[in-house]
Amino acid sequence: MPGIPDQVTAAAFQYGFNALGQSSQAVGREFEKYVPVSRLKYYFAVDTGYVVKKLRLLTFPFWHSDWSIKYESESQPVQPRYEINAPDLYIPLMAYVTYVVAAGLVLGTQDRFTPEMLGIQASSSLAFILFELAVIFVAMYITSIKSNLKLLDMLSYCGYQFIGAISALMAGLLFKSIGYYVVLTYFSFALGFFLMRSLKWQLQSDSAANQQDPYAASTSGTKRRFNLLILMMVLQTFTMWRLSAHLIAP
Amino acid sequence: MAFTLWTLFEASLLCLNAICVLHEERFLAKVGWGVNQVHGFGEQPSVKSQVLNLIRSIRTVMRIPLIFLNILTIIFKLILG
Repeated sequence: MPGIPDQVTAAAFQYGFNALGQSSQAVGREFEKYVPVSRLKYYFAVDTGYVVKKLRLLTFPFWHSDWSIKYESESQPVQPRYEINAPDLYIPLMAYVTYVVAAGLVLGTQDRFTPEMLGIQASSSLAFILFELAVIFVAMYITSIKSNLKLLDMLSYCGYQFIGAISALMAGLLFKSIGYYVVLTYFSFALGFFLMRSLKWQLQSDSAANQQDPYAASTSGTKRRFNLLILMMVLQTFTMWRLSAHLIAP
Repeated sequence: MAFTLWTLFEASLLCLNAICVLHEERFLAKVGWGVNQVHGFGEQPSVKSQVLNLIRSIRTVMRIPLIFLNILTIIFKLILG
């Protein structure tokens, strides 16, 4: 700029950059309070072997015997790469996108496809997931079940049902209605079993945490945990059905 | 029935409005769900006391934001039909 010495310009630019850096840091910190971005990295630390084993576990959980999760610090489990029982967000995210694409495919084979349907399917299934999460959190508050499971863990456990929905859709495509219902009921059982085993030791009631002996679960606490797990299974079965039923050819 | 994000928002807005409209003295105390009637310091709060706590906290926290959300929703519905 004419008439202003370069040093002042340089100082002004320097000040501007500093202010920008500070404000972006402050925004990052505020954002971190609501959406734990640094925790997200943990959920995406997966590799191909983990994905394959986890998918196999989801489709056939009946032979798996060891459901415990190794922890590397107080509340932080080992990365999903090294621990097959840990929840992750990669599979649910990919399953969600695959579900939307598969819905478009199935609609296309029935000549019912329009591009708007993709958006409708995506937002509708997102709404279902949010509703499920809200119901589960309210149920956990009402029954005073304390657990170490955070929002992202619950999100990942709710996201696994998309695998069931996709498989049921594909079976419906190949084998018409009967194949769809068979695969849907099978996945309801498999997912229910998976949830039961995975979450049994991660939910604990308040009284069990207060007692002297933390290894004994009181009877009322066990009953509430059990009821909560049943609620989750019913919710996920219902959602899986609702996500795919309207896409099947009549 | 279209289950989109917008309908979920509307439904939750209606439910929150319904919870906020319950009057403390005229209604809840009569039914036995008043604030002062459940005060256990036992080990584990019962389901009923947790539900009442939830209702009371929703009424306290969401009064003001609900006003703005309702105004926004009314404007949206007027414009978009």
